[in-house]
Amino acid sequence: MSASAQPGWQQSGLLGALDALVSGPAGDGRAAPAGDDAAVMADSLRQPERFGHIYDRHFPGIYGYIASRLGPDEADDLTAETFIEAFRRRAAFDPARGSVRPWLFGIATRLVAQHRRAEARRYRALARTPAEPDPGGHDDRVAARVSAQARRGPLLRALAGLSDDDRDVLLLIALGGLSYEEVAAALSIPPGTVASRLSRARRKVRGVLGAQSSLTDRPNGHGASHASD
Amino acid sequence: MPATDDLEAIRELLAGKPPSQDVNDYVRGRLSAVIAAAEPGPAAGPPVRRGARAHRTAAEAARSGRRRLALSSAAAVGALAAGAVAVLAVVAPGTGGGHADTTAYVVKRVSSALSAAEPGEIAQMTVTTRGPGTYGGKSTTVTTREWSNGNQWRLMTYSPDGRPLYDEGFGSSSLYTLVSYQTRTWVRQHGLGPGPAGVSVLPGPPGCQSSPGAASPLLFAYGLPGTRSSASSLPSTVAGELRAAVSCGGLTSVGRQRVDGIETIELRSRPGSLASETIWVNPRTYLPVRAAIRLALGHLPGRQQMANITWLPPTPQNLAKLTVPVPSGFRQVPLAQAIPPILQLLPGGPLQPSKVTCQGPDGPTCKGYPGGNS
Repeated sequence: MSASAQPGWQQSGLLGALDALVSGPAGDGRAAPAGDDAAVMADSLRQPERFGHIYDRHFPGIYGYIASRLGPDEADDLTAETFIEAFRRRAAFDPARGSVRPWLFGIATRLVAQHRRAEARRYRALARTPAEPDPGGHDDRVAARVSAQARRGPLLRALAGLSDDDRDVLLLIALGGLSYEEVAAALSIPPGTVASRLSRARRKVRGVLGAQSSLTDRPNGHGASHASD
Repeated sequence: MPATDDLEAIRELLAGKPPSQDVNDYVRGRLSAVIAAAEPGPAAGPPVRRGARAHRTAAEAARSGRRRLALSSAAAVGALAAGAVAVLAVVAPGTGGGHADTTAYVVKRVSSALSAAEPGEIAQMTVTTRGPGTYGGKSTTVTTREWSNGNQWRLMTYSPDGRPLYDEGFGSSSLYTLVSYQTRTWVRQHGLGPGPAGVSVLPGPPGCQSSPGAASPLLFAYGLPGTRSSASSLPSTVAGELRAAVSCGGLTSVGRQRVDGIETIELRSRPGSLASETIWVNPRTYLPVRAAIRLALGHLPGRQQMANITWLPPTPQNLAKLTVPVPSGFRQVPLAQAIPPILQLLPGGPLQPSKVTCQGPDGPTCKGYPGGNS
């Protein structure tokens, strides 16, 4: 998986080093101790500007999640609205929840739900976009491209065909990197419901991938052309 | 967390590029506005972590290598945005709530429109600068016309009485051309690209700090032909500067005003700023149609710039405006010979009389001149 495909993006180079130096191991939101978030949220009730720490810590992850679902054109506004809503509702945050992260992802997911058409458009656009080849030898590139292209359309169709609830659970885990418990907290549903929705969604996705694998795993990717027909 | 091939495949399929600094600035700016409005006392700074000053300084330093400090007279639009960042203090305006009338929303639409327009439409600007010469010369008026599209640009500079002084441009084949109507010479040279100056003045975003003493004179400095700093900004640069400006609280949407028959959205710098800057935006296309800058330095007379902007479709006739024609009879020379002393280029300077009698794009044409119908 490429670095840009990480659920949370890290700054790199000089800026990243300086960032780490001045602000500690924040970054993608995973490394932040849960207790810190709760304390900062509590502080922000008296000192609103403290909420900036929440933004700094979770912006990359939230933006990445929204951009992956809706594309970059929609992501900046929805990311802003996610943090604005979180700020306005910060008094309702329960410190017993620990990290703010699932709470933020829950807000983001509800906002994404208001843009289902944009999400569908993104899937259609991605289906029309050729897959980028991985680095490597010529044969490897051809095989990788054929394989990726072959499963691209079916996988996107499978995602589009999921129920909204199932897709939310699947993508919170796949893109947001949330655990079952965090997804349950984000969507305010029982963990058992998370498990059943995830199981249903993955069964459909694996069905598609399995069918593609059986065609594309032949030597040199032969058979992929059938799969993409 | 379960992590197997199907989840990996989904990540690879959907994940995009990491957010740019401009996106971060924009989102942070909207949130800052809300946080500032929530505070009972005076607005505090943006919600940044401790040590953010060091971070921003580093970002600024990293960007400074890409930025040019000189700015042409034709850079009013870019100067407007960059100047707003440079001159104004950090106070977040608006509500940031995301509805259509907020400054953040308007500027984002402008930014998007500029980015979208760049590959196709040609930005044509006519910039009039009035004021004293940079080195204390008498007050005068200089007009420039500029066209830009993609990495191509062209800039024509006219004397106060409308005579063409210079015509320069950077073409699609990385070829820089300069025609001096004063010396009746021309230069064509590779490697002077890659294009117009990335418009910026000290200290550009994302620092947002105020430093008018350093920034303002540069804001109105003239570029010099042959130095690559003479042309104005590309639409994509302006888009980035606009986003940064609004994220720093430099611009505020103040309402509507009719400009050339269009009920435009007016964005204005904060009252009391050293440089008063205004941009008028077409609410249908969200493209800027006019920009104005007025600078006053204490008791000294101020300088004013007004840029009228039109957006031209990429017809063959309009694309021809990006090409610098060489009038017949002009002599090709090395670059250094085509550029007269700096003072001759500046308002109030000892402009040399020209033997060329044409009046510019809309007047009688010189031989070989493409005309200026727009």
